[in-house]
Amino acid sequence: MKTRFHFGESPILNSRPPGSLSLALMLLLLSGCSKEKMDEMVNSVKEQANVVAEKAKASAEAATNSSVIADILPPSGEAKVMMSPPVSMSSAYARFYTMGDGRPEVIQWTSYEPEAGPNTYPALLIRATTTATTVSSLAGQSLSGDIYFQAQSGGPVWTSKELVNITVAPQNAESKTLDASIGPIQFIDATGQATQVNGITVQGVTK
Amino acid sequence: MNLIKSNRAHHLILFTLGAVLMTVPAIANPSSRDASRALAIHATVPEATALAASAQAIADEADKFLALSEATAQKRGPDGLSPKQLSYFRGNIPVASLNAGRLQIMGEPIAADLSLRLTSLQGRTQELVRAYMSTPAGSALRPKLIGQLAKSIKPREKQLEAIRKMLDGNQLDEAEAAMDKLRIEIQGLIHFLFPDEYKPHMGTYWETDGLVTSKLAPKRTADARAKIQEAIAANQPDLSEMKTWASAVAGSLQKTGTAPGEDQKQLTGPECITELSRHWGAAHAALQRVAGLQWAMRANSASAGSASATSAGANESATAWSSAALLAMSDIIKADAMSVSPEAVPARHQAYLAVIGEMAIMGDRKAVFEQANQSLNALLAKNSVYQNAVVNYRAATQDVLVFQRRLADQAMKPLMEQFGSADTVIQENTKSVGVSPGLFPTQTNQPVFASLMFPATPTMASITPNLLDKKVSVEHLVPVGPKGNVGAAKINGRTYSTVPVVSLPEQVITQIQSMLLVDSSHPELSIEAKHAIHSASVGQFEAVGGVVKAAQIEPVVSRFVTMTEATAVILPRGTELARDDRQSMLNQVAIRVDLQPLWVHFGIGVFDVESDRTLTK
Repeated sequence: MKTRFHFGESPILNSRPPGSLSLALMLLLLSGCSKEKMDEMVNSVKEQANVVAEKAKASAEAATNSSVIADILPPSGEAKVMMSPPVSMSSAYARFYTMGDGRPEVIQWTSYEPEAGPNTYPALLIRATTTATTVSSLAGQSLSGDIYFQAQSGGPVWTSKELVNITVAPQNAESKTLDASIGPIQFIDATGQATQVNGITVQGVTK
Repeated sequence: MNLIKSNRAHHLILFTLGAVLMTVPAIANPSSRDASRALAIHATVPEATALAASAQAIADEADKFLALSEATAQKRGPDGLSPKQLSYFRGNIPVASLNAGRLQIMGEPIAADLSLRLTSLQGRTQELVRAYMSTPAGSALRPKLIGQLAKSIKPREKQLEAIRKMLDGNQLDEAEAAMDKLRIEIQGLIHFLFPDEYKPHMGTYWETDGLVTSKLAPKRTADARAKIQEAIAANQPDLSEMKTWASAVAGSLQKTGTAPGEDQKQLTGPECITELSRHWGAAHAALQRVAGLQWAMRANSASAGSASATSAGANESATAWSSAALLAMSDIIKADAMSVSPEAVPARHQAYLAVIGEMAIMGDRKAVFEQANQSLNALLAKNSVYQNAVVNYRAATQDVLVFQRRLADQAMKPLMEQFGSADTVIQENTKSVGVSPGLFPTQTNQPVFASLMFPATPTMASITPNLLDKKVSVEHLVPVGPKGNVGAAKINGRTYSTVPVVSLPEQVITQIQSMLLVDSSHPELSIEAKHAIHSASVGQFEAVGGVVKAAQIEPVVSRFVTMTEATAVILPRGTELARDDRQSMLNQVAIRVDLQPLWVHFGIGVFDVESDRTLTK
């Protein structure tokens, strides 16, 4: 399992930021910006980080120094679908829905904001029903569920023929995410086209 | 939902196509089974029935007579023809044509067919008359006919004078009937002769003929106009009455929790929604009849050469009804919410979900869902525990519904390549080509609607082989009829269809239920989930692909003027038929195709009938 929101593996994990960017982030934090302003700037920095992705590798070590930020910034989660080519998502959410009327509860991991629905892409939904009554009791469990993945708007919706096994990672008391992984599976689209997926990982921010 | 292989052999209820045809009122129309049937009339002016029957009878007789006579002439030469019969038809066909004109004034589409037919029949008859008169027997007949015409002038002049007197005395119908009799007689004679042979013996015939026409035409036009206007007034649904009713119902629900219904029955809030949907459904069908009547009125105006009555306003009415119905639904739910006790909220909410589905199936689904969800919040606010369950349920089921819908739409895409939209397939296969009459011009620069350019019977006969066994798809199938075993698909362009309802295997339904966390003791808690399960269970499908097993053409005007609530499902509530006022409505036809279904799109999946499995997850 990956380190939870370690900057080196953060939403910009594909493009480890060069030291200058990490420094910029730290300066921002120190300058007493408002949360909104800071988010905005962070986003802008994230964008720049993507642009300089190629340079990023060289500065990998420098990035590890930024772990302090991870403790201050709220985690945004992440998800990865190891298909060809692999797709990474820079946010992920885990939501546990309980109806309290005797029907199964539902755990959902999404790459999009749960309230907004699957309208931002790539859109990933992992969904399982469970008899567990709390999020924490799910940790370390193995669930059987459904998966839907759509890399871009209007693109093929990938799913699996059969239910998939979802391994929920153990949590510790401070965990702000619920992490899960799905082993190698075969994706199939609506026309029966299949593609191999080596695995799926998701670190979903809990509420 | 996983790939399904059903073992149940009987899940597919395929009724015979005979049963399918019975669901739509048995009105005569040319079909793939019998192209010779007459186009349906709407008889808004009751006299149309007799007029159409008499003109039709002459045309039918003439058809048979001409087929035989043309064969005779070809085989044995024109002197084998019967001048007596030729005279009968040469006299009767023009009067039948006059009747077709009278039917046009009444806004009857059969007028268009009759006039196309009679023009051709008259031409063919005249050809035979000419051929006969060029034979020695014809030459011998010529002086006899001239003599007959000359001899009859005296008594005829008396008759003509009597007719003019009738006109002066305002006995118009009598005058017309008497003139028609003379017309048959005279036209049956003069067309055997050259103009200079008959002209000296015509007396005041043409003058009187013109007089009758000029006196009768305005009366006929005004009479028909009055009848059509009367029908429009009788059918126009009263929107303000519905609004008053809804507001009274809401008031009563708010105060007492019930509202008075028919037979002194007290209705609950959900029962009021059912009642509202019934009102809306009746109004929707009535609006279609009004639209049809307005088209009939246009034909009346056009034939009188006056400014055409416009059917503008019909769409505004449909939209106004739609918004008013949605608003009434919202008011009823919100008013009911005020008087409901917290412990009654779950049962009441579920009762609403059941009845709102009905409104959604017939109307604009998204708009109904949105408005209903918003209003139901007022009800849910009365019971926070239940509200919480509903909010969580919705969140836990909504995304999977969205993805399943996308999957279903994507699964349908390759199918659509084989099963083109029925209207497009029909348009491509029913063009007039060479001597084969069709419903569309061979080439056209702009979109046109299917119209009769040739008589209906040969047109139907010509297009039938191009339609049967074609693979097509249709949208928005709603179960109709008392048993709900036949679905009617939405009209697209001028095409609509009937399809035997496919019952999805129980396993499919169970899997949808399980996906949506529903079982016998846990009902759906969202409108969307309720709709998904209900649609799949009753056969209310988004789209269906199938093979054309039968086809029928029917006049658009008659279809709309005679629209019932059952048949009005071919147009979603709040909409009206697309039209182009530059094209004559009287000639336009709707094409109904009866399909044998091969696959169905049930909203969140696609089921393949032949392989008996879902094509989607």
